Amino acid sequence: MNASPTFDLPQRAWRTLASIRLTIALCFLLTADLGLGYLSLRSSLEIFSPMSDVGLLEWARTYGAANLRHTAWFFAMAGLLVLLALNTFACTTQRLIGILARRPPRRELPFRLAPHLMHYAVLIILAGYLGSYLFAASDPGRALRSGETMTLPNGATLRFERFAPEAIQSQRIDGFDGFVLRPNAHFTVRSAEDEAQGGACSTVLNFNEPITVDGYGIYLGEFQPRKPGGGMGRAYVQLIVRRDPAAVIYRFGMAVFVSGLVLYLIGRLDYATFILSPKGGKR
Amino acid sequence: MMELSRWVLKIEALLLLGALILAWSPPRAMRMATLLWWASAIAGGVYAGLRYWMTWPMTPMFAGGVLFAPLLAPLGALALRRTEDPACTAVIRRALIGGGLIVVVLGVCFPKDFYLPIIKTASPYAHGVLLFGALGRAFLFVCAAWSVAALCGFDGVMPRLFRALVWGFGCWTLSLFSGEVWSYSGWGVPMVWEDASTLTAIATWFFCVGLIHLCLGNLYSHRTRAALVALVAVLVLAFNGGPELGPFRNPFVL
Amino acid sequence: MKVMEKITIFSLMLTLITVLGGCDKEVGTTEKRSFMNIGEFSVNRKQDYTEVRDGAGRKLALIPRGGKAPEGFAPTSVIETPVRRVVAYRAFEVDILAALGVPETLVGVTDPQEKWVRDDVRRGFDEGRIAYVGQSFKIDFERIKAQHPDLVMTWDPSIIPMMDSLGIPVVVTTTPVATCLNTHMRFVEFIAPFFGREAQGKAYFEQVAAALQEIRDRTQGLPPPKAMWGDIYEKRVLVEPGNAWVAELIGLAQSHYLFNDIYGTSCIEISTERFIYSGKDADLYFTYRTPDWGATSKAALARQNPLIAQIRPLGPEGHVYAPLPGYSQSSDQLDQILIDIAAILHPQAFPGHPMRFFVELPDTDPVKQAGGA
Repeated sequence: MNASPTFDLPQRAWRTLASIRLTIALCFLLTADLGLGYLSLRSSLEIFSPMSDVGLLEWARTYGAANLRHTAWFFAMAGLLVLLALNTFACTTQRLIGILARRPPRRELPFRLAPHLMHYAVLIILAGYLGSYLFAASDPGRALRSGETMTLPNGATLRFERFAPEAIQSQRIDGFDGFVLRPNAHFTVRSAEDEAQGGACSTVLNFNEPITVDGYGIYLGEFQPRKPGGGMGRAYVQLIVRRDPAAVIYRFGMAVFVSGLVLYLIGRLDYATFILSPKGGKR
Repeated sequence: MMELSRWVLKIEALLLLGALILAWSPPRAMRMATLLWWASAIAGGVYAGLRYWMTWPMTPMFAGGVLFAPLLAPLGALALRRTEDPACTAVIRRALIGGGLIVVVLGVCFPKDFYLPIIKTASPYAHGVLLFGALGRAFLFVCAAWSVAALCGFDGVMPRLFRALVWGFGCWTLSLFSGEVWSYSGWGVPMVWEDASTLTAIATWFFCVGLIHLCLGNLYSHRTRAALVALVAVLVLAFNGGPELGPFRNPFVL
Repeated sequence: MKVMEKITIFSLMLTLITVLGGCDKEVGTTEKRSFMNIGEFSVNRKQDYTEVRDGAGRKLALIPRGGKAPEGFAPTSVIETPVRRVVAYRAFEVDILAALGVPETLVGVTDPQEKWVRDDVRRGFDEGRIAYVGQSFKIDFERIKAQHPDLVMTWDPSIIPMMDSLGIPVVVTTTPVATCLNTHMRFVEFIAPFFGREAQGKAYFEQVAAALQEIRDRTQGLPPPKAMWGDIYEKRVLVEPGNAWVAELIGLAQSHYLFNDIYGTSCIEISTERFIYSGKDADLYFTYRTPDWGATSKAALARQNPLIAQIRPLGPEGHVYAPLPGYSQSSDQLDQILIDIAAILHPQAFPGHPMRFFVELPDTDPVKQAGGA
């Protein structure tokens, strides 16, 4: 019955990797590491802010490597997250197989699977984040004045037409009366296909309300004037152009996590209460 | 208006102080303590309302550290509704009132309400970060109060502790996810590095994950687990409240 | 189950090997690279060109004159070095050109001749080399074009599309967040590669660093005064945040900066109440206004905005300092500016120091003689 050492090693590695103690240790280590990260980030924000623009690998080669004293926590976090991802996968897969093998009643199944849904969602989110920082393309410095046109790498064009600003009318905060809350920057957009066929559409850009053109996200980074008659006579929008194919992955992961969380909160609390009560015994 | 809101916060602190003193008094004073506690919650609600009224539709800056204190009264009442042991109830109540008092006193002595609001915070997701964050902190404080009861030797509190922990974790997760969606819709990136306190928010999330696994795994004794869970309140105060504190301001100087 | 375990562990090991292998490769190549970040600006030397990242996060390629443009850069993102003709928006950049020993490259500015106190700029105007290209927020693009610049240094990203259409490269020299002391001192190292003047840039930095060390040594152990830097305008209060270079300098000079907890852009807006509250505790106040802009006395400041009269420095016990016009046009003498500020904070550490860039405001405006009053 005794397994040979060759076969025993992977099993032991698997067991260690699937250990809940490892999960706890990693989570507490990540807490401490991120606490240190806060102190580091607060004092050296400029090292980290380019990461979204230049991408993770390029950032690690340049800013990360050149400022190791400030970025060590980040690399430690990356290592811990890799371990946590492995641990999550091993742990939840092992338990999931156990649950499915026991063939629980169909009514209970969604609630029993809810924690595992959350675990897999964490893996999806981490993969999405990694993909985003590896593969997203970003151009943070595009400014346009009224009447100017910007061409995206695929040939689509955006022409900034005008503002239709909505201002705050309130004395509730000193100096805020009349400030523009929604600039309503009107654009004429021609996708690559429109360019070929001569079509166009109008759209409006605001803070927190990006435009999507052929997979490119156009975000409002800054605009002037912030107040009618302000901006020192300049009227322009500064745009952030991003193409992030992995965004859909982590957003999907979040949706899965929330689904799992809701199922868990609905269905598992009484179960948890039972197993955790002194009479309930161990899971 | 800002001055008025500070006065309301001071009143909330005084009411909580009164409630805490009465909570240590003989049992017949308990009703009065409860009354003061609820009054403080109303004052806290007024404070939150004033801060919101000043900045709406934007979110008030650095308010999350104080806004959750009034939630402790209703969540505490909810948590204690089936508790039959009056001694245990008293411990939970004292812990929650004391915790709330610390939070509000920190808010009074270290206000950080002098930043003007940011237009980009006029987003439902930014409000989600603040509101779910406040709920999450309140649940985690309730969880820490249960852990104090466990440390005091009361039996059968671990399931309730766990329930509060899970709800706190859930709300904290929703707060983080709201932040992520806001970051994506506002900047197009998964994380905005400009706000360092995002890191401490994620740190608290990982700590909660660790605690949940600690409880589910039934590892170590109840007492050890309870002691570790109690740390969550310290973490919320230091990690998530700390970045929202301003410089010291003597509350007795007008 | 066993098969699945094997597959999983194999794939995990493969992942780890790939990750570690990738890291190892990067370590090997790092040695060949030369990267330097100066705050949010960066200079990355590559084999055939130098890649710089400006304040707006745009990547530009610096190539030797007549060299081949690297791939992936728009024509106006490629700059031939050394740059020979520059239009500069801010006096700070003009000062940096002087610090690098290339003041003759300046061909356009956004202030008219009468606003300049720098001899080299006034001389440039006289010689017809330097042109006034319009106010920074109302630029005359035709005038810029007529100057045939190789490069425009600006804080205003909104001119970039127009400059692109004119075929003139632009570098954005400011960042959304206030620059810290280190970045302020090392900004010259970001500009130096544009002119092939890296050695001069390094020398300038070392000179400023030596002044900073002198300030540290002289002020060590002295009682810290409380200082504030900002101003109240009609409806707005603007201050230097704690992350700004002046705030860091005040801290380094054994002093307490009262807006140290504030973070953000230079000239950040805060509530009036906070300004007044901190002001009641302050010993020293640095105003943004020069004497030309009304900062002639404490009484004059109080007349412009009665709220400011509540802060302690405007009373008889406090001190108020206003920058002289030369302050904003003398960053090539940053070491002297730093010493001036340190001497204001700790006059006892710099006995007999002649103030060059600031003036202490009297309580009231001097009474004019000869029938003036």
